[in-house]
Amino acid sequence: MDCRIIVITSGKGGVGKTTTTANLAVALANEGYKVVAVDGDVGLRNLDVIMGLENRIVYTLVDVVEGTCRLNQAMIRDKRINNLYMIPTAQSRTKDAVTSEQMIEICRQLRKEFDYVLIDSPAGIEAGFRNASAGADEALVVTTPEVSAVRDADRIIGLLESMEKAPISLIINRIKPQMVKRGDMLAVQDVLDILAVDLIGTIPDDESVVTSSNKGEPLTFSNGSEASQAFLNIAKRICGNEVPFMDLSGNQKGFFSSIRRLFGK
Amino acid sequence: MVHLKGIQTGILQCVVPEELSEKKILEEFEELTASAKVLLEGSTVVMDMQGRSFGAALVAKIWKYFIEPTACSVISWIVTDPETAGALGRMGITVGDIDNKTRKEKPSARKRSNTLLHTGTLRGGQKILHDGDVIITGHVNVGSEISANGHIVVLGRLKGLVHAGCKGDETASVSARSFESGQVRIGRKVGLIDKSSDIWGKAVVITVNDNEVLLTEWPAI
Repeated sequence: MDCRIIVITSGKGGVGKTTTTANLAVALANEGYKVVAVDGDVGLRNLDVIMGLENRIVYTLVDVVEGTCRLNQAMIRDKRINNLYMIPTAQSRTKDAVTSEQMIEICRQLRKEFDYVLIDSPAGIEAGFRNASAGADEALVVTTPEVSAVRDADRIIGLLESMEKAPISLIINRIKPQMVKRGDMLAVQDVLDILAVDLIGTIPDDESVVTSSNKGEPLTFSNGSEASQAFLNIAKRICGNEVPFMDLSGNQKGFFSSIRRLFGK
Repeated sequence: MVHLKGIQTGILQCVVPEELSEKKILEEFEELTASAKVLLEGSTVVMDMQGRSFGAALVAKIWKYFIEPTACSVISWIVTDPETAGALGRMGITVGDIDNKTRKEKPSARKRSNTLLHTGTLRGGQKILHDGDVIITGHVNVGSEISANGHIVVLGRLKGLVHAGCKGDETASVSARSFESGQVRIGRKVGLIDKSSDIWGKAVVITVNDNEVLLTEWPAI
């Protein structure tokens, strides 16, 4: 297959870009594709921690662009799963250490070797975001159902459209069905109504995301939680499969109500 | 601030204020290229450099940061500094206001309506400045802005800031299928609307009547 280079971005910080990148990279590798996750957040390195590969870093993306090492030397192969690689970035540098042209060149080289290249973008709309997005063909915009995050996502979608990235798909993260039901949180349809882009996945708020990030084991490795299933579903949709969306409206029937219905008959 | 104006059908005027530093100009061109690329792509542009004194170096930088990335065609440079005008002329660059010349060459252009149609949603941070009427087929989201010398019609939700009749024409109007903005401007008037208002989220026409901004709900069909 032709390589697909996807930037994962959001505008607002802290909405789950890096967690999404790590989980989707694992999920796509699970599907049998050769995947590399690139940390595009120069100076605020995190993807390596969430993927549990921080102790294996020798060279970084900045070493590659400065000619200190070859691209292959900066790639860390994940030993837990076949076909999964990660390229870390430098922690001791700033966003201007890598230019758009250099990112385009790196993506050009990765395109020959991989099925999927996932680039974790920094928050914001400045040079860091532009550089991270420069080499990508498509974009996944992550948002949470909060007014500020949605507003920033709208801004970023406008910039991605002007950069001619297509398709631009939306992931809505940290949905709390009970709050949606009470009317205290934006529902999926409200967010879609504002942003007017294609939805590729919804992820429920799940404590296991925090513990897995701290342990350096993306949920999609084994965990059977709802969030893990949501990431696996998104990976399948990225690959072109039709997977039904989870019901996160807060109206879904729980285990106990099912039992009650059974005995009530 | 570097900004775009629609001066006649199909022609945009890019105004570069002379008080801006060269560094600031290039930064603003980069931003303009990113935010208005769709609008600029393939368009015909007149560069209005006002009284600035400049040479080939700045022209080359503007080409690199603005003209080349947006693929627009610059048909003339307006410069009031005579030395700069002479230097640009010697480089073979067309200098002077094309307004009258173009009108003489293309009389049909004058008859056409000066309306800008934006298909899709205007997103936060995006801005439209137009010397005529503006029609938006999608939403106008929070953080976006439209300044039009004529009327503004929004076929989706209006949540951003709009200014109809921005050069002082208070006969201009704003029409929106769903009005959800706290402020609207027509001519020199500013109307403030509270979220609790009955008209919030309704289809409205906004006009200036007796020196007051008046919101009228669209009649049911």
